Amino acid sequence: MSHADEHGTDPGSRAIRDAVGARSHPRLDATFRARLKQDFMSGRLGPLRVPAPRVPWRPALWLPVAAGLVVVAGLFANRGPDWRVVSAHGEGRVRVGAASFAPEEREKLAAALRRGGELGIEGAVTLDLVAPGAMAVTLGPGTQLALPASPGRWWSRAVRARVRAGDAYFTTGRAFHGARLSVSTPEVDVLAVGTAFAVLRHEDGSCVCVMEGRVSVAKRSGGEAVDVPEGMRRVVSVSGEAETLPILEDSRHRLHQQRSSAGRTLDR
Amino acid sequence: MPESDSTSQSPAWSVAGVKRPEGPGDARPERALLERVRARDPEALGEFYEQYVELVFGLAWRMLGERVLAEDVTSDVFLKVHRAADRLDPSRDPAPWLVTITTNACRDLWRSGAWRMRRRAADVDDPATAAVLSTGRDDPEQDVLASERERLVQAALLELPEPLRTSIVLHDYQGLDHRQVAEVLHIAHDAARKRYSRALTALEQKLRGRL
Repeated sequence: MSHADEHGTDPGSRAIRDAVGARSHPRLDATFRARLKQDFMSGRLGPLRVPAPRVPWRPALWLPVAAGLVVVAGLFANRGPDWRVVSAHGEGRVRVGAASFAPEEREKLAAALRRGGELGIEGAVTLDLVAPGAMAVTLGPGTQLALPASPGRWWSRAVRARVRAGDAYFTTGRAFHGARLSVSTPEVDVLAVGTAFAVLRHEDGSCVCVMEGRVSVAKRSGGEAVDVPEGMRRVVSVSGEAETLPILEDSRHRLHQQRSSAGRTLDR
Repeated sequence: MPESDSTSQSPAWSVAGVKRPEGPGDARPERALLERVRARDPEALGEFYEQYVELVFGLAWRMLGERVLAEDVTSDVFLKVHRAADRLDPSRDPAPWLVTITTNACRDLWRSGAWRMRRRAADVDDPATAAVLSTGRDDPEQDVLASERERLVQAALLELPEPLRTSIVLHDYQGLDHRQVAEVLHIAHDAARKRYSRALTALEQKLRGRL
């Protein structure tokens, strides 16, 4: 075929094509030629002489795979501790999502809420949970809570719980340092950075009781957030009225109880 | 079609370096001969060899630029032909298949560590190269000039990346058109044309002012 007219017509291109086209035909060495012919005719050809090609290293292929593995390993290593059941006692059932467990089925219950979930306490059950080193939560009878996964080790350190009803007591551990826990009810948003407090949600409103440290409580209906110091509680009614009062002895007692049962696991 | 590295054969192929039987009509080897090659009849194998050995060796030599390596590839190609003879399709021209397996064998060699080691030691000024290249002219001065020209072209060709070098060798030396090159390299027709253009440009840059 004539390709001279297809690819470049300048003298330089033509000279190159002429030079390529004018090359002579290499001749096979007569001895080799005759020997190979004999071998080919007789089928006495030896093994292949050309070595098998090495599989080339393809960074373009492996880099995304390696990067993916690093990301997966990072995500796995960043995971905070799973929730464990410290104790579950009383009469009734604990609902996790669509599943329901008796208080005695602690292993099944723990497996169901390792990474958190929608929890509901039906009947007179008290449930103590702990994410070792990070956080402890105690749920009283009738509590409905969206339990978050515990905070990540290096990132995703902000976690959010939601108390729809009932009493939830929170205590943070040493591994919680630097993380943020926010708890919301229909009336208030609570922000805590390492402390022990309770969020009690009842028909007439929400109460945030602080046993240790300081939490910030903001009404969901608007207005400035109020810092609630240790030993005080902030009560916000359904109608939006709010006041700060001394903590009730019962709440203090419950939070003390939680600390004593989960304190070692929390490494406080 | 024998071997996995084969390609569809076109009866219209005309490949440089193939010693065709004399006489009018279809230049392809007789069907009867290929039938006997399939049966590994020694005489037919010898005839087949005579027809195609220069094609295979010439192509390998142009690809590799070194006689010993080209001989190794030639041996390998005929070993593969012998092993796959019973799968040869007598209704098709075996030339495209031979071009394909020779090209693949050269590419295997390039991708092997052995090629890089050989290239470090080999020199295109090797006297063996001059011996292989025979111009067939009686004019010593012209022979020297032609030989020098050949040396420059071959050296520049060997400096090209493998796909570009293959494109030039198959198109300019082996005389395949872009469609045939595309078949051998398993690429699209347009890609073969573009690759050849890039190869020619690269070769020009290497040879500019030297020819």
